[in-house]
Amino acid sequence: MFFIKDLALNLTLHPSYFGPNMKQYLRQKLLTDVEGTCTGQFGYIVCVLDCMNIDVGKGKLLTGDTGYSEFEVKYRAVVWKPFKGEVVDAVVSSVNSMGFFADVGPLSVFISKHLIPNDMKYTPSHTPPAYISEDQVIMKGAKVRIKIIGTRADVNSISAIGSIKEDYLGPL
Amino acid sequence: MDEYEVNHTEGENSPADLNDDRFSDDELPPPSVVDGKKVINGGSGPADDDILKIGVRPTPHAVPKDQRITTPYMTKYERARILGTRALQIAMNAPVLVDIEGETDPLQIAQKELSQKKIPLIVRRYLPDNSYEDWSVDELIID
Repeated sequence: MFFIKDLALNLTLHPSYFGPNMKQYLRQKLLTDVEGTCTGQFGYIVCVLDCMNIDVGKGKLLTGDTGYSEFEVKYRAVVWKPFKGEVVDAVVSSVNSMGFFADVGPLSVFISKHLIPNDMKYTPSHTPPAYISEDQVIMKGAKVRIKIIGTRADVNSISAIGSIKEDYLGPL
Repeated sequence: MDEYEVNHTEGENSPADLNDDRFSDDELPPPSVVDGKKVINGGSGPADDDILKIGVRPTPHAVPKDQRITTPYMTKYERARILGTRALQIAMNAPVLVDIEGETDPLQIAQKELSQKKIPLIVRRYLPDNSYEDWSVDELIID
């Protein structure tokens, strides 16, 4: 599910970047540091909003003899976090005898053989290998609709497993 | 921004101070009467509870600019830290804010910036109650 979230980040800055363009540089650094990253708590940071309104606070000298300064940068971003029970569309990225992997944007979801309908059989002789029933084929590159049945959030990654063993799920 | 801890000692109260408003009885609750005797609450009554919290430091908060009470003079400790920090920044290729006139030593350049009040730093003086006053270097008096 997508959310708009107010977030803050502490950036440290080398003295050679001090000067009139400092805030512009910090905004740029925020975008490259933050966009596309993943935190277990908030999910994937998809995009930073209103890049001209990024609030760069007053700098603070770091203690010790480093000479660096620290700035708290407040920004607003679109984040995406997968939830248990959420139904999403995905693209199959690899197929093997245990099941298959599907990509939901940045997240790779594993769908085990036990969560694939029983009439879909793994067919290694097909190229590329696929799960095949009478009227459906799941192979690499196919579009499938899956239900996320479990997520695990680590510090900077999220892993998830999904199912297509329900009504209206499976190849599109 | 710079941080400093500054200890403050207030002058001893002269006898004249004892007649000050601070010692008036106006704020005390009226004495209660038990068994025909007046009972006056002592120093650690309910009103003093939040003053006497032990081990709890109040969260830091800024003193507004017009209510600052610390000295407007830059102390020698502040001067040392400011010159050291600024010289370090200059040594690490920070843009210099004065005409260096052929000077190459970072400390000399920092001293030149200080004498022209061009150092872009703010001194944060923390007080014992965890509040702080911000003084920018260009408003502090150097002598």
